[in-house]
Amino acid sequence: MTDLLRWPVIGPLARHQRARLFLQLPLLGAAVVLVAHGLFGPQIAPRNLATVLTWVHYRGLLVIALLAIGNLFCAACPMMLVRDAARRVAHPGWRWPRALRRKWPAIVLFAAVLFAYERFDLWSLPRATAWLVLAYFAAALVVDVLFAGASFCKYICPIGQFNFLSATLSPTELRIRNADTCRSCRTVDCIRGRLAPPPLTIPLASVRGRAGRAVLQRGCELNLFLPAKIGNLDCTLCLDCVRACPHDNIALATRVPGEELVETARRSGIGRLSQRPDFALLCLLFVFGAVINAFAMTAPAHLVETWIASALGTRSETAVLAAVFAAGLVVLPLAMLGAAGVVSGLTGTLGSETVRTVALRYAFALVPLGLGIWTAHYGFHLLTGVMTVIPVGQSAAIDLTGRQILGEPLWMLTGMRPGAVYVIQLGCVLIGMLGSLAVAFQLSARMHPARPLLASVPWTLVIVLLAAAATWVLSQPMEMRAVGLLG
Amino acid sequence: MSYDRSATQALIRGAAIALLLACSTAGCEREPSDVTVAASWHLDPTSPESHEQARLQLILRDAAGHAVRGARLRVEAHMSHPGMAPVLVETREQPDGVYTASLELTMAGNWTLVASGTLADGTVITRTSAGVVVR
Repeated sequence: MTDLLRWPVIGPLARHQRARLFLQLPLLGAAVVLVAHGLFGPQIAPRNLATVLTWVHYRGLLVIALLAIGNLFCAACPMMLVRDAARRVAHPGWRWPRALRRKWPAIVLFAAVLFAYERFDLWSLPRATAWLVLAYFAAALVVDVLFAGASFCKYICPIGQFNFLSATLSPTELRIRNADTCRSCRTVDCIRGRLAPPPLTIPLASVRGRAGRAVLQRGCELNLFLPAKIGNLDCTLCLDCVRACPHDNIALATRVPGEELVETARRSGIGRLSQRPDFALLCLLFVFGAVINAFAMTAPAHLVETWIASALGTRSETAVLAAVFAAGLVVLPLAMLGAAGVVSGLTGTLGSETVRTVALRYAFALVPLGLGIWTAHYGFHLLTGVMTVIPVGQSAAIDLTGRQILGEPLWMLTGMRPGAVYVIQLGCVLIGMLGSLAVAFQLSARMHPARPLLASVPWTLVIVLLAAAATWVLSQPMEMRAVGLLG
Repeated sequence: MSYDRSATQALIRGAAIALLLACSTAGCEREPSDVTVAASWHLDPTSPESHEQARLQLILRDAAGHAVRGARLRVEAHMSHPGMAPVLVETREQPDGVYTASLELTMAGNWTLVASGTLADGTVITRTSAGVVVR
């Protein structure tokens, strides 16, 4: 295990009291610029920073950071900076309702965002993109000013859920260095936070914790108790725990990506994955949503939608898209996983479990493939359009000042040729598929140690079929429509 | 919930500054420098196929309906999705304020055409077309 926090330069920087602020400020600045340009700049998506930064750069860099290091974009989330500023004024007085302490609200919102993205062609609408960003900030602010902890991150934020699942494939993880140190710890600052000793009056200490004592350093707001924390699920990589631990006993350790998907032990703040159907359904949404999201940008999607419209006898784009999403996010997963479960039953590898239980357990095995598809999709836009921020930035400067202070926009600056990126996309899907196959086999080995190969066959077929579908989608000619799909 | 008066004032001041900044950028979506020039776009075929050569005709007229001659215009064709390579062409001036160019739009979907350049007197002009659907 290598501890990145022990590395020179990187370690001290990461531990710095203001480390998160240094990450958040650039993103907050970018958010302000893109919102301003989105609201008041030219309403042509490729010429507006709102659409370019959001749909080309942010998404692409996010998956690269997740794969290269970890959940850096949650760590750098500017919404939490605004929230923290607001909490200096208004302290949350409520706890998130117990009945909602699952991923269900986030699942609904995640699906809603995917649907709205297609229904309203958000990628083509700078002003709508800007409003979406503002709405996101507002939602985070309202939820976290009302409710204690990181309720928005843990239970609401669709991007956060995307990041949490993707981070299961990250090469690093926050974990304790020495279990004995934690066993002898009596303060558990990593989760409770470090409080000023009473009585103490700190003029600027407007953030107060138990019994009105000032919080010198907060602990994990997502209720991940480090000695019992496993993997990256629900971890925003904020490093609050690292700074709170008085024993310097937390490492940002390297690890085998995806290994945590096989882990069956109880996790702090989450419980056992096998008892979290909400997490399993989030996985399915993550994977099948990746296919739908990529498919919607292709020429055959138009044909499928036209056919559905004809079959339903409607010209309502909402109805047609709802049918596509119902088929892709509900019927298809049910059919594929149900069939695999039934085959498991026929081969005698279901044991005492039900089809539902086993299918939900294997849903986690699909995450590597899902991330491979998302990376292929987002990576395509980033690689083919990485340089477009330069001419758009130049153009924005002209919009703002009326003069070419950054020179004439160099519109020819784009990125790699789509044909060259296709090979990389295939590589992403292939690596994702191999990762999923490995996780599925490991799960089979744990659940059916006597016959792991046989037990994994139906799920292997599901993974290969999905990978084949994704490969087919990526090979289709792109067709970027921004008007009614039936138009 | 408890509130801190000075912090509230600081937040209100911050919000006011942010609002001011936002309002100051309202000029970003500027009116064209020369609002008196009208542009009409004609693409033949109107809905070309991907990679098909299409002939663009841009007609400029002033407020009195007279042809606007001597402009130097470049046309950028942008996909609806950001980050895609635009198609850039220089226009050729024809008689009577007509500017033409040959366009090969490289992907199916929606495109927007933007003509920008200068008029004969040096006035900067930018005009945007309605969406073009490429089959």
